[in-house]
Amino acid sequence: MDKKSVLIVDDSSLARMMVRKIFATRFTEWTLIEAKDGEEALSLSDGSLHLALLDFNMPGMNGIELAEKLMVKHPSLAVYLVTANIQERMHQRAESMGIGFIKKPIAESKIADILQQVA
Amino acid sequence: MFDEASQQALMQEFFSENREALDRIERGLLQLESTPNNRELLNSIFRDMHTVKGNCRMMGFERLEELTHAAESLLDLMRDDKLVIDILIGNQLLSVLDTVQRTLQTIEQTGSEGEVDFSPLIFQLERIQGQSGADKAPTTGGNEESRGVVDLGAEPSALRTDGESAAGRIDSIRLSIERLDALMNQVGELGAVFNQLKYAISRNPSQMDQSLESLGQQIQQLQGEVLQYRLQPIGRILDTYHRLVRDLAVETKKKVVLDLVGEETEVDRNVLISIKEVLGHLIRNAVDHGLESPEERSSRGKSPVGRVRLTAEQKQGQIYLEIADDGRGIDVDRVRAKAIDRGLITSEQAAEMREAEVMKLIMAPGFSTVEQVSKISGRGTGMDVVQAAIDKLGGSVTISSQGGRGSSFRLRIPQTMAIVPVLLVTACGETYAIPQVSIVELVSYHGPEVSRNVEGKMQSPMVRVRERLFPLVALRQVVTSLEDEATVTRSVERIQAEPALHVVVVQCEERIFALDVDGIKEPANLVIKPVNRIFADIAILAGTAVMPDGSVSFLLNVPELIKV
Repeated sequence: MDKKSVLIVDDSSLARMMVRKIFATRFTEWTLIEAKDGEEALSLSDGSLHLALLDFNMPGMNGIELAEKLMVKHPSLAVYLVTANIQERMHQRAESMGIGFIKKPIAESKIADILQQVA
Repeated sequence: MFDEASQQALMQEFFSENREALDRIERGLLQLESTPNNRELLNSIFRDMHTVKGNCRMMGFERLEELTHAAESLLDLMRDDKLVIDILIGNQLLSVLDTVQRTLQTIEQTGSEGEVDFSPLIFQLERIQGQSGADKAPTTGGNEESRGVVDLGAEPSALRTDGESAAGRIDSIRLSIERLDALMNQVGELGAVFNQLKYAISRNPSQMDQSLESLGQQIQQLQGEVLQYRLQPIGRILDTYHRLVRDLAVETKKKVVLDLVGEETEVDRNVLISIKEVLGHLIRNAVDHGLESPEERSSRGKSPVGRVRLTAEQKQGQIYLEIADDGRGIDVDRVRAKAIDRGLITSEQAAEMREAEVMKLIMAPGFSTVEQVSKISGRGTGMDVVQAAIDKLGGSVTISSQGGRGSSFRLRIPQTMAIVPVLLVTACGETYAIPQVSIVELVSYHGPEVSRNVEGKMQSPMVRVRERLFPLVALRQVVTSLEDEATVTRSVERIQAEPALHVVVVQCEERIFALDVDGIKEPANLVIKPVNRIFADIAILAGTAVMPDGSVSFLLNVPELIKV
């Protein structure tokens, strides 16, 4: 089976490392693409992407702005915001765009749930 | 969860990233104290604090998370302009940094946060937050913002009521004591001028004119001041539409982004209340009928995410509101066919109508006969409700559309309804008021000028103003009852024979015409009241005002005059 790829965007290197470790130990069939902000994410994303996990609070564009650009570029991409809590209007904005949520802190079980949904 | 080596690598990253961030925050805070308005700097400090907090949570250091969270909330209030950094706040934040640094060292040496009690520091931070005058910030759970924050773990129903009440509160305003004092002062001066006038009347009549004039000025100032207080930023109602769009998106299985522009635009409270539902209706219409499904959009090479943009701006006492979508646009032929089908127009009329006129039929009563019962607003209404509400506000709607590219509804409404600058004119012995905003210019022709500048075009009188011909509409004809119409209707020849002709050139949207009045009186600022119920069905009347002599005059609804 082909490897699937997931895009991780977070300005915290620790957060990216955490997700990288989780994928490296449990979900080895996935290829990881990491970016520290929206701009980098857009330059790295391509048609092979299946899933994107985005931080909300980042320098430059925020997670929702990035999600919108990614969805335009890759209409079939599944997009999730990784966040602890979010301003209500942002929450509604994300939901109205069909974006999912993963509650921080990120953990193996939560990623497993998502991967099952997008598989 | 991880092996030893991974765990160690994560801890290394935890320390190094946090220290970098803390260093940047420290430098930033020192700089911010001297440049408190540097937004970019403030944002980057906030983000770094946010990262540190997230990292602490990720690695399970809950007490550090709580401390950095409190600091982040404080920074957030600054981002919201509810708090400005000063030495005290700066010191508190710097001592948070020191404490976090020290605790990181402890963690590095012992593996745990240690026994230091953070609660006095957290208490201090919360106390500053409380003083900021912001709504009581939640001490836990807040993150991106101190208000309207949703814990993603919470029940969806819990987060609904919250936003509604926060954004929907438009039935009260807050007034600072200073502004209240200023009002009090003005009332005091009003009293003084009144006494002067009283004195002048009884003892010194020569001073009367002067006293009257200053009384007038005082009243006008007071009016202006009070009107200012009635103005509120439109953002207070716009916020609620995020929820509406979200529900609509889920209901219709569409993907939608709502953009709000001009949230700071100020509108009279009453206008605000009236347009809240109108805008909601137009947004609903845009998502429901304007936007295509994500699949359809993708197949047409558009972004799967549809866009609805609500723009508010204020220009010369008027508020312009535009609801634009990037959907399929309005199918003019379908509208035409449906209007004929519904008996609103005949096919002959349809053939002659311009596209803009055809599109307006969407707003005609009876166009959407199917009750569109909406879960959101809870009752069925057609777009004619929008038109009626806008008419009532003395505003107008312009619809434009581009096939496949989207459509836009542009509303114009007066910023305030209470006092309207008008021109007083007469017709059939009555005084009528025309809103200044719709007047282009005033022209009077005398003697032979009348016949030179009036001509007939297909039996309709036209008048020439500055080399342009405009349709001439006689106000006396508009305001008289049908049975008297014959006596007041004048042929082109009769008008040409008149000794004088007074016209007010008025404009509504792109249409300009000349109103033939019996006499032009003076401009005035009138306090406009709604039309009495008996006349409520008469569309050409937009309101009433009591004149100085106690008589009542009517405010004319210019868009309706054009229809007549």
